[in-house]
Amino acid sequence: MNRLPFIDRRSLIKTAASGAAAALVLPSLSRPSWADETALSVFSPLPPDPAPPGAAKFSEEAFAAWQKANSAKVTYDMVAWPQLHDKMATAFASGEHVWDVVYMSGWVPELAKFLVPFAKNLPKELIDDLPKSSFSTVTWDGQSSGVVFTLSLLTLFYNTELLQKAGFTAPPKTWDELKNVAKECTRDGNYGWVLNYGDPAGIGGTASYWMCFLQQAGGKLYNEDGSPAFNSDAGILALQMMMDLMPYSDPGSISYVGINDATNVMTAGKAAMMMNWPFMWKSANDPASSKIVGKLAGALLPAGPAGSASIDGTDAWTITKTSKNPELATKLIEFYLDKDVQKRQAIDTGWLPIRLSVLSDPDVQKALPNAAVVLEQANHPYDSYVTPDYNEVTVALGTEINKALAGKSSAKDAIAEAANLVAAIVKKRG
Amino acid sequence: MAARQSILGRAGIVLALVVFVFAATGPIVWLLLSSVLQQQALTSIPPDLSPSSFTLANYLEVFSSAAQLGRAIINSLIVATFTTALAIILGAPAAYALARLEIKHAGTILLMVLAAQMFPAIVIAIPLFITASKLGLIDTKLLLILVYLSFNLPIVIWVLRGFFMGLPLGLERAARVDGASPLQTFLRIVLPISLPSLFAAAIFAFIEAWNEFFFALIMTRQTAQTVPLAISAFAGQYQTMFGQMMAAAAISVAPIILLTILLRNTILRGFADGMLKG
Repeated sequence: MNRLPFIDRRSLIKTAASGAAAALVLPSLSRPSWADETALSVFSPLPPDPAPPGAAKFSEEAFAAWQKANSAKVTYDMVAWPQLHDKMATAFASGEHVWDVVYMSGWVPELAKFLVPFAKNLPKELIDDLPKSSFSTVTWDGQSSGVVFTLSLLTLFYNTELLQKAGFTAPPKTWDELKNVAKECTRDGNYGWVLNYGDPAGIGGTASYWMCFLQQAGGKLYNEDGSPAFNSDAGILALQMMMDLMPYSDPGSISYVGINDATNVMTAGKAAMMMNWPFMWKSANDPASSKIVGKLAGALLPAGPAGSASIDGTDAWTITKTSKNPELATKLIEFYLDKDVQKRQAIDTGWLPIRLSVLSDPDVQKALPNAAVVLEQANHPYDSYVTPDYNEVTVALGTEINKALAGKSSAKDAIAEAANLVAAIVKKRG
Repeated sequence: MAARQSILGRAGIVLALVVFVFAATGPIVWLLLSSVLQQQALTSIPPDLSPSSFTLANYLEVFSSAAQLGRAIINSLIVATFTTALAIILGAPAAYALARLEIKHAGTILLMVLAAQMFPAIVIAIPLFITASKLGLIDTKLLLILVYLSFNLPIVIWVLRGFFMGLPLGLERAARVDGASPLQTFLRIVLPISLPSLFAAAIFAFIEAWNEFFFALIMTRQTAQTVPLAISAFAGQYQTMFGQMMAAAAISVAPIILLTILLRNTILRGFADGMLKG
């Protein structure tokens, strides 16, 4: 064997030089975290979920003009909707400044301490044009830290063709009618009802759907002192109603995680009815993704013993406490809520406006026939019962509701158990 | 009788292999198939596989809005390549030292290396975010490289240590007899015969870095976004563009599949050596 060459000083110097070169190259892979020239940074979901002008394709010229007029440069940080909460919760918890304006969906009470209670500073003319109840989900401890920008209430959607085949010319108006229509439409491989009960948590989770039925039954989630109020006849009746629909529901409903899973069943023409958000109108009438174009209609959610009721999607804009330009951020949100911008938002993206004057605009109602239904639904209760521990509460509630829907417990037992769990969570609020 | 048993045995093996091949390739076949189906065909129950449902529109859509995906692929390539290179450069000497040199508390060090792997990501996410933010590293590829290195390095060390321990000592002794230092022995004798294991560990580190989602989500904004984030963008709250998502996924897994096909023999040999001899 030949003698192995030693590593001499020269090779060591060469190695060190290579390391130093790498050390010089590596920093070039980085760049300053937040560009200094950014005046305002906005955290938003990616379209087609509700996104602002410049992020979604509407009012782009007006947005450019607003930036110019206000000497502002707005940058958007967008992620897919399912990732919003984790990303913003981590950023807020770090205490670092990350964004000026942040999209929220029912998380305002949970994150209120990181937000500026700016809503009181909005012009009176604007506040007067917004549904008063739209502030309930963005208000905590008497402080309104957000403003809802799209009226997003659950309403009933139904397939006119399937209802007609089953002998119905009008949508169900009461719980009894809903059960009957669902039963009669369950035929030929189709189902009367579809929804997603696979994820208990959050707005659009199992617990939130039950909250619609709870309010329709005349119940409420909390007493005035914050203790659970739903272990009542209304709470049990609401769950029993959901259980009664199960034999006529698409069997996947028990495991569908997102509303998009249930929507796909509906747009495939396999289910006659569902409750859904206003956005469904546009996607269900898009021939590229739907088999029920022209066959979809909307109606109020069927009334229970106390009438119709819904929940609010609470898509809102907020301003962070770390923002260095809260006044400019408020101005930007005012721009997002400008009448013309709201109108284009509705017509171009399918997301309804929140301003009452724009909702009743003939052009908007013509483009989105369901706008009138949603507006009418807004005349009925639509409390989403959001609290700082909303996620924990809905996980506890939704899990018990899911068990009952799967036939593993009775409505009475599920509600009693959920009440115990929620009482323990509420106790921690202090 | 024996011949019949032999035929039955062979048939059983063939059947098991067929099942295995279907199970292993099924997801990839479905990925490719659904990437060329229209959204309506995919959401039909059952999926509509008639010829009129097939389209290249998903790929065209992905390419036409490809700025984000293209940037994400480049970001992922840079991050995964640097992570892999650093993991091997740092991990191989460490593994060799732990396998061959007389180091006090080598067992404890190894366990600590492994323990570093056991923290749930969410536990370190916030402190890491604060540190990165203070250093101005948020939304940089360098940060992702450092983070991914922290969980790839322990795996590389463990895999390579197992391999190094299995090498015949005679080779290294012969080198020492010829006057080679431990470092020279490592560089001139051990490394050249360890290439299969180095490749296997490198591929593993590359795949881990390529696929990582959670830290990429938390630590990036728009500039340093990687492939998994770009793919997740097709799944919204109300609508998931399944076809486009699958087209983007097909494009993004192509480098990994290509790399794996090219180096398949080396990878298999390397993993077998590293795992069995550890």
